[in-house]
Amino acid sequence: MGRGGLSNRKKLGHFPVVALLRNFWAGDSVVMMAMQNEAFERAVLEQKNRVYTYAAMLLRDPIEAQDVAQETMIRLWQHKDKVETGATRYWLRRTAHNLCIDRIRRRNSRPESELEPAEGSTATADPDPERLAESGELGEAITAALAKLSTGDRAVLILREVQGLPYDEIAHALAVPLGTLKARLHRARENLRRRLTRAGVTP
Amino acid sequence: MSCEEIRELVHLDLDSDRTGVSADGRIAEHLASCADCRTWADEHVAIRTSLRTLPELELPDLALQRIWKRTSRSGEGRITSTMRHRGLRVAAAAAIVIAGAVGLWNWRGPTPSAQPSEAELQVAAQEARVALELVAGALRRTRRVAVRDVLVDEVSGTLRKVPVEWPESSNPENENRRNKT
Repeated sequence: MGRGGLSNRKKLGHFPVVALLRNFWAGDSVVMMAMQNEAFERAVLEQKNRVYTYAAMLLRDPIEAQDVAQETMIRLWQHKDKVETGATRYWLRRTAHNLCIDRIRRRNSRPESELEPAEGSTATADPDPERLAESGELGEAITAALAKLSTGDRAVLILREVQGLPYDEIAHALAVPLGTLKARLHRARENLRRRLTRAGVTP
Repeated sequence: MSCEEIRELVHLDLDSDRTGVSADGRIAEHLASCADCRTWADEHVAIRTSLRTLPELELPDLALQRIWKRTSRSGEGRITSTMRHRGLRVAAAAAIVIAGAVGLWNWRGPTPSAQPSEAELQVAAQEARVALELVAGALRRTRRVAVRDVLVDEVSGTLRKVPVEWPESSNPENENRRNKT
């Protein structure tokens, strides 16, 4: 082969720049991006209601809970490269919890005059457990009693007793050791029972 | 065992997801003889059962749509900064490959004696195919905006700057003209 010829070694697929471009663009990056999108969308669809329910019960405000659920998912999207697939649930739980706590802190730091309920909010319209107990609505009486517990008690009861999460997942979400978590759970159960008993609810 | 100790055991029972609180013989024995603890334990079991049956709330569709809009489906129907960046990357890649192919062609075959070999033609065809694939990829991913932003503005603009000179011998018109003279 003369000067103008090319050996097989130099065929297009072996040119470093072409191979790099082809792998980078047509191969790896696109496939990876598609997988990431798919995994993200699956995580959202699987976890959205759980995250929303947790936020709604902890914040006692469905509008704020929607905001938290959205923010949690958007943060997952922003950190999707760093969150391992197997740890997504843990990550979502912890992020949602932290966002709820931030909102509760902000709410508590505002003067009472500013604490007007948002449209559609039930934050200040929790039903009275006693009234609900009288009408025989046990589930609602328990929800109402739950809403009157402290944030810490409520969080641990929602995660463990309502959502049935394993202890390690709850401990990660709340960032507490397992022993502390169990002690908190015992205390929260007892506080809820006392509140319901005082309200005359006899499960 | 004292009532306090028994109640601690009942909590441990509840922790371990047992449905009742009488599995442990010590608990059963104590509850049989202590009405207060029996009531206390029954209340805990009933509360836990009620908590487990509370319905899960469904995130409203509007909120879900907002999530899609701000995340994985944000690019539908419009070009985002990421996509614009991606489009530029494709355009640059296509321009580099085509410019490389043209440059190689000019370098290898400037004289009539340097007819492109079959291998060269295959390489050139392969390069052109890859360039077209890259552009087609951009089209697929960025949809209609790719036509305007990527193809028209970026790729065509870049290609116009590439000096394309076909080897004289490879131009059939030149060949014919030479034969006539």
